[in-house]
Amino acid sequence: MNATLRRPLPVAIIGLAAILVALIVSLAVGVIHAPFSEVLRTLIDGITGRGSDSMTRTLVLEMRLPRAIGALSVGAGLGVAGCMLQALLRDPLASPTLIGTAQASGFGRVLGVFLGISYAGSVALSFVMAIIGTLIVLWIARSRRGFPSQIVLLTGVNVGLLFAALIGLLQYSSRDEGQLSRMVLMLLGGLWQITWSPLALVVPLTLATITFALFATRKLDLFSLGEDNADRLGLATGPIGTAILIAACLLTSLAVSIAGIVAFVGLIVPHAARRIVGPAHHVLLPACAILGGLLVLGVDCIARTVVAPNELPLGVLTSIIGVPSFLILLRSLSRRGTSA
Amino acid sequence: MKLTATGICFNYGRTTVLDDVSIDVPEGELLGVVGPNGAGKSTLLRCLHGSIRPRAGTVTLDDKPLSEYSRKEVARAIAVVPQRCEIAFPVSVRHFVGLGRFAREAWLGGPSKVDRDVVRKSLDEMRLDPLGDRPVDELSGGEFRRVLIAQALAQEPRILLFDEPVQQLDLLHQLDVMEFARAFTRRESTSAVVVLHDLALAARYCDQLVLMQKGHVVARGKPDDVITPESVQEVWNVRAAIERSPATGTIHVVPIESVFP
Repeated sequence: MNATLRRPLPVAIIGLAAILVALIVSLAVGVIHAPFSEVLRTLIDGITGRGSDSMTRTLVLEMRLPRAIGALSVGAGLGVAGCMLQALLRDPLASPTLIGTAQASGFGRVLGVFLGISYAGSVALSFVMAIIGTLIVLWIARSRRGFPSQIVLLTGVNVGLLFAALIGLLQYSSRDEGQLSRMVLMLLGGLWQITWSPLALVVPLTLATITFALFATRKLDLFSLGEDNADRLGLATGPIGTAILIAACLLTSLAVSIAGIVAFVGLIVPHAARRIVGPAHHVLLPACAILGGLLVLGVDCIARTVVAPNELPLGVLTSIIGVPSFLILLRSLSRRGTSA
Repeated sequence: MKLTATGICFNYGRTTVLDDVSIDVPEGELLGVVGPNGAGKSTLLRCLHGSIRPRAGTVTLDDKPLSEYSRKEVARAIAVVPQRCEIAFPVSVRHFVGLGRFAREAWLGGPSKVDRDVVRKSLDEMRLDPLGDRPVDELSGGEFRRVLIAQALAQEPRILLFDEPVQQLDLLHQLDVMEFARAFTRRESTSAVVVLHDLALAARYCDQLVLMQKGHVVARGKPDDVITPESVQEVWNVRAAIERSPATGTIHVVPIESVFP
């Protein structure tokens, strides 16, 4: 492992540069190819407020840019949420989808659509459900000595199934076809027809929560030693653990609110990042945000180009990539003998 | 600093683990806690640094109840060397020891120069300097024990609590840890408590011993007075001879046979 890549500043600089490049590439590729020079000019015009309406402008600024920003926000949020959950439960297999947070949050979001409440209302509902789902799992799985991995994961998968069933129930009860198809698409995970208005709510909240997480990296280091050890080193584990858990739930529900259930990002990103920058959270956490953003942005580009002019659901693609990665991970953990 | 427990009781569910235990940790002394498995030694240690709260009785630090201090304040005064610390994500030895600074670090901006200096000193003191960049899961048992002690030292505590610190260590490391524990108590206004199973080590290094059985303190005093054939038989159900080694001048226990009552 490279020593430079274990320090926060170089990681942030390299990461942000990579994101900028990926962003511009993603704005250029698609069914209609927009040359880089034109993309750049449109972007600069858009920022400075000059330029006239053109097809490229609509394509880049109103269709692809919100989608790219949405992908970055979803990926960064899920990467950071996964990283926080893994530290908190000191379990390399914890992630929003495996412990049921994402499904609970998806249920809240779909319930919002079902009830026909406002977008902000459904985001809030999704957040509340994420917390309820996660608390159920942790309450059931808690033992005197913390959270045993197998129990957390088994409980999480089952609670996830419960919320998936509840989502099915809502879909079954829906009388309105438009509403039904919205609910189905939402759960497959994807960024179809994303516009600026939901992003105006979700992106600032995601950034704020990630900023909060960046201030908690030392505490995440302590939590990954286990609750007893964190406590003896002076961490008030109760309130701080709760705050970190709420932040992870919030990031998950914000991601679910714009893209539905995008599985495996929260699991794989922290592992990949740990390989590159090591396990110390002051570097790992920003690396998770960057890598998560890049991953979802990249996969979304694939999702909307491979079968153009149609597209694949993002969540389906991340699962296709995620399941084999998860299995490889399980295998390496069981060889190391630390999966428990 | 003065650490005192007065009449503390603790139970896990219906099992009483501590029943009316009172001890004080005298400054400048190494206090050993001995007793059979399940006597409540580790639970007592947990009460002494407030990681669990006794159901009755109080623990005070400089005459103020421990519950009135924040967890950070406690960690600046009392450091614990735990029996074990499982590693989920292996950071480097230096980073791991640096986590001992948490209770003293500024809220923002990460470790300061002072923090880094203290970490370096702690590593030096435990002869860990060459291992600073190693991942903590690649150490031997003895090395990892020293890392745990270095982390506790980085807290700059006045009181050290050791929970069975010599378990699974070879002879050299056993002596090493015990010598360090005693040396620590000879610094300015410091003291230490060590939970031990090895009575010979306890008798040799501790200034005073507390003998526990089934959640009670049954004897307290100089090692020679606490460890007697009678007390060993009563507490461990083992008939034993107490001999004095000509090499160290301290006593050791020779178990003869079990005598179940």
